[in-house]
Amino acid sequence: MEETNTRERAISLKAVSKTIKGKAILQDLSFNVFANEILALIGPNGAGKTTTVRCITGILNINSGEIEKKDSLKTSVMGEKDYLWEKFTGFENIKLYYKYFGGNLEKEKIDYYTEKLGLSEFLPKKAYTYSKGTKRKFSFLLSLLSNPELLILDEPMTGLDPISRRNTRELIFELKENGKGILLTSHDLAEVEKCADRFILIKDGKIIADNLVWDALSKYRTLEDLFFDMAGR
Amino acid sequence: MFKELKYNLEMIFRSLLFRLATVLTIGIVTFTLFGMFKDKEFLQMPYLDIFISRMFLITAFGFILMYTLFIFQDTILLEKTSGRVEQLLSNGFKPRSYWRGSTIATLIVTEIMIILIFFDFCVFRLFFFPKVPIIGLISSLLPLSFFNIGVSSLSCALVLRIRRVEIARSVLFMLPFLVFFSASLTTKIQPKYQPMLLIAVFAIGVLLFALGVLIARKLDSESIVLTIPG
Repeated sequence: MEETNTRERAISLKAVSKTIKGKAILQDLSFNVFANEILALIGPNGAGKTTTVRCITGILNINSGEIEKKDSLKTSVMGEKDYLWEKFTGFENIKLYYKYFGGNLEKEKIDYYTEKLGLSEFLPKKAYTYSKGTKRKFSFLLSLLSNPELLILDEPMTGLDPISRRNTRELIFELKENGKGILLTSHDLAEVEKCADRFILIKDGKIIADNLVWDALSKYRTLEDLFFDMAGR
Repeated sequence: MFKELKYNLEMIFRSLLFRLATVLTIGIVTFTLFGMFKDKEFLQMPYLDIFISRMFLITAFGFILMYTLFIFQDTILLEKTSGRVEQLLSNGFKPRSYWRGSTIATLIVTEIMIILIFFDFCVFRLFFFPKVPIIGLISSLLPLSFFNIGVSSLSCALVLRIRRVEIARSVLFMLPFLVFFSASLTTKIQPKYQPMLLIAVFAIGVLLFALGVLIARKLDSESIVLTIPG
């Protein structure tokens, strides 16, 4: 607990509640996302994960509570869908992102990430020719262009083959080592076990578990077992 | 707002569909006018000046609406249906600036189109029918621009505000009927009196613009994102 207090907070949610069309989507949600940490947000469909992400990015207004962000925190979001400019090439997508969303990553870093994600050969090709997995990796690359301090990844591994998964995971670890906070949402609990330091389990807009992954795995065989035990209907 | 405007203009001008539509439009208008103006009987008909001005109005209406639809396919409608609008809004685009940017981008492009059609009409008119001044055509430009402002602002606001974006498409399709009905009524009441029709066009433009502004007043990130289809 002491360690938690001394770590640098990227973002802090305090008793956040959100109601949409009379339905309580989030209820008294409180948690922190720290720098140098990979936090996974897990939960059943409709639990409120995407709403939480949207509240953090400021797309949705919260009804009560508070979201505290570190001063001038740079956040980047990789959405659940791939928002590539389909009629443009990979190069043009990067240029467009820089032009309108303000990328500031050095060229060497972009080349490194492109190489790491196996995207180099796709850069001159139009985005509509990409496979689902390539689009996913490209969306990940785009989310890195603004060199964010907090990276929010919504289902980052969907559609990736095992090699791409491993490379993406390694890149996420590298980003963490470089001091970035990473908040990811996923239904792939095996991936969360491999990737995340901590997880938050949400059900019906409430947090029902907030724990370190290794700690949970000392009590349950897998995160899936924990999920069925705590969130199973 | 300039960022949003620049973004929308870039998406429009880099669209192949838009470029094709522009070439086709000019081609169709030129071909039709050539066919009509080389007919000597046509040049003898009474109230030709009014007829040509009205023809210009109707052609311009048709192309404003068709163009707005074309432009939407690669800009605001695409951004909304694909959900990319959420990415834009979470990366610094402001909801009302986005509405204004889309409206002005649509307006600029359709205005360019109207001016091209106008020049097409003027060239044919001056070549085949030089005796009568082209004041009838010129006087149609301002009401048309107001109509254009109305269509652009209302349709952009509708696309951003509602979940069933096909309603915006239907509105765009329905508008010509409203215009043709008004034009027909005006012609019956005052067959020679062009200003009545222009006033009606102007009034419809102002009304649509007011509606657009009214709908856009309540625009925020939340209302846009929560109405993304699917």
